[in-house]
Amino acid sequence: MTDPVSLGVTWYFNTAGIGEGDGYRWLSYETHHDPSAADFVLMAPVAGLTLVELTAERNPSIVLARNHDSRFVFYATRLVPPGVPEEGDIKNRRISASVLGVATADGGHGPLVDAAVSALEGDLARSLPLNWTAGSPAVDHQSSSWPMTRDGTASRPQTAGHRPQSVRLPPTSRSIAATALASLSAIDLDDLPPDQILLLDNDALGLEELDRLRPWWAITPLVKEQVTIAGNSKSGDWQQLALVLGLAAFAALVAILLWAFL
Amino acid sequence: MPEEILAKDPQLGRVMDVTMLGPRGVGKTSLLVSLYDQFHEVVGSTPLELTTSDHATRTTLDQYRQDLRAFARGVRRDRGIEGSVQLRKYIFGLGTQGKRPPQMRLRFTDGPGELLATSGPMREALDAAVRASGILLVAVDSPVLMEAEQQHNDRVNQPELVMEFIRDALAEGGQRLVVIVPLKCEKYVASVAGARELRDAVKERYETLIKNIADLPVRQDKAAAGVVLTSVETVGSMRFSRFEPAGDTYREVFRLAQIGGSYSPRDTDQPLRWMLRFLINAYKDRSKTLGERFTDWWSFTDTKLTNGLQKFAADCKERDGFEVFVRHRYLDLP
Repeated sequence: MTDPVSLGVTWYFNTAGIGEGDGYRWLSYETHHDPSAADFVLMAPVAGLTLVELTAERNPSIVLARNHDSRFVFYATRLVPPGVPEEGDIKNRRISASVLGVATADGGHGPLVDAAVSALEGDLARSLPLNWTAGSPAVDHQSSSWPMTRDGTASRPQTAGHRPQSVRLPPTSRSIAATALASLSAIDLDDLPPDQILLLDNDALGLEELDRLRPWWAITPLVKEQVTIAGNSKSGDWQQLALVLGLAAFAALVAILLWAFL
Repeated sequence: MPEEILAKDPQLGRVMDVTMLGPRGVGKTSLLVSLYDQFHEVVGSTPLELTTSDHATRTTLDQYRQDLRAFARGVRRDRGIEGSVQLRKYIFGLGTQGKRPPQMRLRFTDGPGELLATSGPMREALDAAVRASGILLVAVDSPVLMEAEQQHNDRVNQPELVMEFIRDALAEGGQRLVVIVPLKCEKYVASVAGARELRDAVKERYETLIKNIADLPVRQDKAAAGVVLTSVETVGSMRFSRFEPAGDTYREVFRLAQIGGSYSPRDTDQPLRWMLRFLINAYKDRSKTLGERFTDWWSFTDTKLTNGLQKFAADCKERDGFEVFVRHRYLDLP
């Protein structure tokens, strides 16, 4: 098993068990790390939004970003690992898991990118080092599938490539994003500015929000909405223009009155 | 404390913040789905419109709606709906019909009950949301309150924690409204006697909070709060049947009230009507800048909107599952 600390990444997992006292909580891969630290990362803003806001409430989402403090973060939600109890939680609700990776050292972005590629390819859930003994979740340190050590880390190009610029992809193109991510060089990743989202796979954000966030790759099914948003925004623009013209006319009238009476 | 009940957000414009407190899975988000779905029916001839402002709200509500409709038909009736695990915000636009962007937004922050017993950044975010909110909505799991001699109530509804939390928020000052909303209450509100029993149970269990608020020093334009009870049927067709043992705890089991029953929520508009009544009074009471006066005069927006809101807020129920526990001057008919 590879020592995760040597890879410069801290991993956290959030999941639940079947019992009343087994509600969703954070587990840390490294036993000496406080799992509750994960919440601080989740609530730290990236491009003005927190990781909670960057992920959908009900559907799986993936975020890979460079935080405002230059640390790389990876967050994937609503994953269903193979060992999850089939009966669900205390209310029979399906149990899912989230994984959060935080780069703690230079070069720590490698394993996070690998995890993101794996998530895009749909393989991440079955690699998660989680088991449920007597219905209660625990980190499985004996898992051979964790930490992520894909071939990509070793074979990543050592020279800068062509940096992608805010590409929006339909959801069926996860493999395109996965290939593009895997081919990113370490130099490209080092050059990624702070507060920048590299990958966002989230069906809950609209095009307007995506345009503002400008992720390098955004995977979204929202194509039709563009028309609606454009229409709305145009209507708002006309109203604003009318107000400005009205104000200008009012100011002119006041000026004329003042000129006439003074 | 909320500077004004209708705050100004640089991106959203005028925003009324509402924090929802209650156990995870009680149906807080389902309440928003039903409220949104029913709004165009209950609004009648009032020229008001409720819209989903952001895509995240629209998508999430749509997913909850699918689950809710399936549950209402008795499909997966013991599975319930997967609860939220984090602090989430839902934003709606409210304004006169056809007006884009809408004149105001309603921003609901969903505070899962589990957060009340924790510390850390999520809890701090919840505290901040409560400080900014003029409206605090307390969602109550009705079967847990009404059945099995309340043996699960302290753990699920956490009334002591909720009361303590609200007391701290009120200590910060400002004008606030506390809306107590019993959910999953279809079984009880089916009869007048049942609705009164539910009301009495809420009144008894939240007596300390109600008394604390009633005893707040009433000073003109200073800190004060009102408390109302509005029982809401978010599904309509499903009634609580029994608790079923599940390991060391229980599981709520629901049954169809009648064969062929389907999604038929009732009174989902009542919490909003009370909130808006409070809002209109607070809004009229606010101090306007010269610019605001001119804009309002220029667009006639203010008149149209306040007239619409006034008409909508006039239909607040006050009996059989609805009651004003603590009066506040902003709860009077505007």
